[in-house]
Formats: sequence, structure tokens, C-alpha cells
Amino acid sequence: MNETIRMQLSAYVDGELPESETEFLLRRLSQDAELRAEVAEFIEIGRTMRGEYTVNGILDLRQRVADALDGDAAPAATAEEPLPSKSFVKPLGGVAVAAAVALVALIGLRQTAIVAEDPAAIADTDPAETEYVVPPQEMREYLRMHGESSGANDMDVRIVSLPLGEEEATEAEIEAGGFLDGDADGSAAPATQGTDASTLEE
Amino acid sequence: MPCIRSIALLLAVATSGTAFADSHPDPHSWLDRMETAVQTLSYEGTVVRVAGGKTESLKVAHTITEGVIHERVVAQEGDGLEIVRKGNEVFRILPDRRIVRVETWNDQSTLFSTLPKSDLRFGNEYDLLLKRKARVAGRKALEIAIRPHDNYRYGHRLWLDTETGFLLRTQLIGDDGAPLEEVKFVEISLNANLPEQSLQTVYEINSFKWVTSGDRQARKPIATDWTASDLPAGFEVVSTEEEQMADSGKTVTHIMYSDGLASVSAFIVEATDSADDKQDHFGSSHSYTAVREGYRVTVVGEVPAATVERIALSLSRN
Repeated sequence: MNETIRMQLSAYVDGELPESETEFLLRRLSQDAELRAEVAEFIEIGRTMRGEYTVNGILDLRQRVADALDGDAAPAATAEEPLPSKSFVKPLGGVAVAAAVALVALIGLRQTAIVAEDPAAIADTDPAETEYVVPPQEMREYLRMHGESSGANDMDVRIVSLPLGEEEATEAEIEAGGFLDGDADGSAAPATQGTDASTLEE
Repeated sequence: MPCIRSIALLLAVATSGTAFADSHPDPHSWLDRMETAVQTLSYEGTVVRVAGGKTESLKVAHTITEGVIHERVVAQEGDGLEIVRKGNEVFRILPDRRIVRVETWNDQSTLFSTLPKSDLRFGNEYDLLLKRKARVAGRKALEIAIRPHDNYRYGHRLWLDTETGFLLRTQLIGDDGAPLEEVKFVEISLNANLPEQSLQTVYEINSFKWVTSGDRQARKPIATDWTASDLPAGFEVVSTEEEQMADSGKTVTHIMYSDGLASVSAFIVEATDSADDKQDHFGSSHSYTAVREGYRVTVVGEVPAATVERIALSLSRN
């Protein structure tokens, strides 16, 4: 089973699959025993992890399959099963939020960084509306400032972003003052304000 | 209908769970584990990111030695961008252009110093669910879903290594339930003793052009009379600062809002024209620009379009 189908199944079991994809998935379900087994596993694992020891979810899924296929519902596994409980849904707050944000810092590759890397992504706007758009350079700056301040994106911007544009390089070199001229003869190490370049090399 | 009965039968005979799930039933405890893991483990691997129809991969190595972060990230496509970090010194190496950009962090940042402070943790606009077991980068993983209560923020899915709690995969989920962006390790060594060369550039960078962007203008907290009267539920002001734009030199008022997970910035500068409102997006981030009371207000954030629009249109001076 490929990853796309797996994600569709996951979303479907959670009631999150867009309608446009549901019909396709259900048809596939009707023809694919392996896929049906996967659904069963998804339901069961989720149920167990949530501490549900009845068969909550089964009726719901069965009904959704039946409704979607406009067919007869299968016999209930147990006649008095309750509707799926919402009790397993826990509010997200406190430490959980902090930890969730940590992942963003860890991977450090969020969209803000990519936008900042690619001026064309911002500059490529409808020419007819250009006069109303925040200047691309200014928008880049906003995105960078937002990333640096938001915490979630901070590492993106600082670690994996803003590769040098030519114009930036020139400007930066002027600002740097004490840096090398950029000749490629390798004759001297750059003055790097206390940075030991040799420690970076093999 | 036979197929439906088959499904029902399969569901009915499903077994009663695993010791793993029983011993760690609380999603919060998993996020706690994740927080510890990402702060303490060394790792080396390949990360793939899928966003906006583009896929890119990077080699990543990370370790902490005597409290100092050593990190190296190498893009496997495009210009081969390489980033080497040693503590607060960051070197961005563009091998094709033979340029090294040096950035020194002055604020003693660590990888996780950017986490929200305690007063930021008011977020209660999401539900947290353990979902299922999975496999990521060849390792057993547990999937966790973070679902927003409304359409003013995105959802997330996380896959944590069941052995360590380390984050192996993450998705940003749009309001239609479809992933907007995905980042995942496709191979990883956790807690590995990284060889020194994993953290060093392979280039003879002494012969490259070395540049710096210069010092960023310091941000300073200010009081402002700009307020948003119609913030989506859960969003609060977390900072108000004045900054100088690096490019134009303009002074901008920067108000940041957060619900504890998603964040949105409003930038306010004096307007030089009276342009129409403008909405835009960059991947999963959105912006909304409007002129209000002689100022241009631009609201940006990795949130749905409705969020930045609602905030921008409710900003006014008291």
C-alpha cells in the first residue's frame, strides 16, 4: 500500500478526508482486502491507545461506509454499542504546546524560511496589482522578522534560510569592511571577527 | 453488501491492543518525551521536505558537546547550500558561488531557547490525540494529531520515535484535512557518536568570499496605541516592539500575536500611498495588507488567509 493511500485511510478513519477523495477510497476499499485490514488496524490501534475497551468507532465507520456507498449497513457487532466517545480528545495546552513548537525548531525548515530564500516567490505577483503590493524586499523583511520573533520559525530563518542574493552579498561586504576582497586564490584566511575558519575545514 | 460486512467483521475481530499503547496512553506524556529527546539526543540523517509541490532533501547532523550545539545541514539539491553551526556562530556556505556568509548570534540562542515562555502557553485552541503506530525512517513511530478547534489556525501531525520520543516526521494540515507541508527523516541515526567530519564542511572555504550581513538592528519593546479589536479565539498579544527595516531603514511597529502554537505578526509603517487592500500567500503563510489611518498595516503568519485578514481589518489606533 503506498503512502498516499495510507494517508487517505488515516484521514478517512478520522473523518477528515475531503468528500472528493472519499468515493475513490471507498471503491478501493470494496475491492481490496488488504486495505480493509488496514482500516481495521487503524481503528483498533487508535481505540486501544485511547483507552477505549469497547468497540467504539466500529459502528461509526460501518455506517459511514454504508452511507457513502448508499448500501445496507452491516449487522452491528453489538447492538448496544455507544457512539464513539469524545473523551479521548484532550485539550492541547501548556507543556504540550511548547513541545509541539519544539519540533518546528528542531527541523527548522518551515515555509517562512523558504519564502525568504526565494525572492522570486514574493516578487512573482500579478503585475496588474503590483502597485498595491508590499515591495518584495519589504515583505521578505517582514517574514524574516516574524520568523525571528515567533519562536516557532526562529531556527528556520537563522539556520536554514536567507542564502545570499548578489545584492545582499555586495551590501554585506561593504558593511563588513574588514573582510577579504573575495579573490579565489586562497592565499589568506578572512578576517571573521573572531571566527576561526580553519576549524571548519577538514 | 458483502464488502461492508467484511469490513465490519474485520473491525469486530480486531485484537485488544498492545503493551506499548497501554503503557503510554497520554499524548501529553509523549510530547514531554519529545521535548526531552530533541534537546538531548545527537542525530544524523536525511530530511525530506515536501511543500508547494516541491520536494527537497537535506543531510542533517546535530550534536551538543559540553553545552555547545554543533550542527551541519547540507542541501542535496539546488545550490548545495551548506550551513555549519558552532554554538552561536553560523556559517552559510554557497559552494557554487564560493561565498561564506558569517552570522554571529549575540543572544546565546540555543536550539530550544525559542520555545514560548510560560506566559505564552495559554493555547487551548487545539485538541491533542494519539492516533496510531506507524513506521518512519525504518523506526517504529507513534502518530499524534494536533487539531485546531476552528479554521483560524492549522493542524499538525507528528510522528515520534517510540523508543526515544524523538520527532521523525511532521505535517502541517490545512482546514480541508490535507497536508500543506511535510518534513520527515527518511533515514536517521539517533544518539550516534558523530564522526568529526559529519560536522565539518568539505569545502576549502578559506578561498571563498566571506561576507557578513552586519548586525541586525536591535528590537526594543515599546508601548503602542494600535489594537486589534477582533482577534480569533485564543490569540493574544505576546510582544510589541519597534524595529528598523534592514533594507529601507524605515521604523516599523511589530505586534506579535499567538495562540500558543500559531503566531501572527502585524507590521505597521507610515503609508506613502493609499493603496487597496491586498491579500497574498507564500506557501502556507498568508499576508494581508491594508492602509489604516495613514499607516500601512501588513499582517503575516503561517495561518489561513482568514486569520490575517481578520486581524488586519480589526487593527486601529485607540
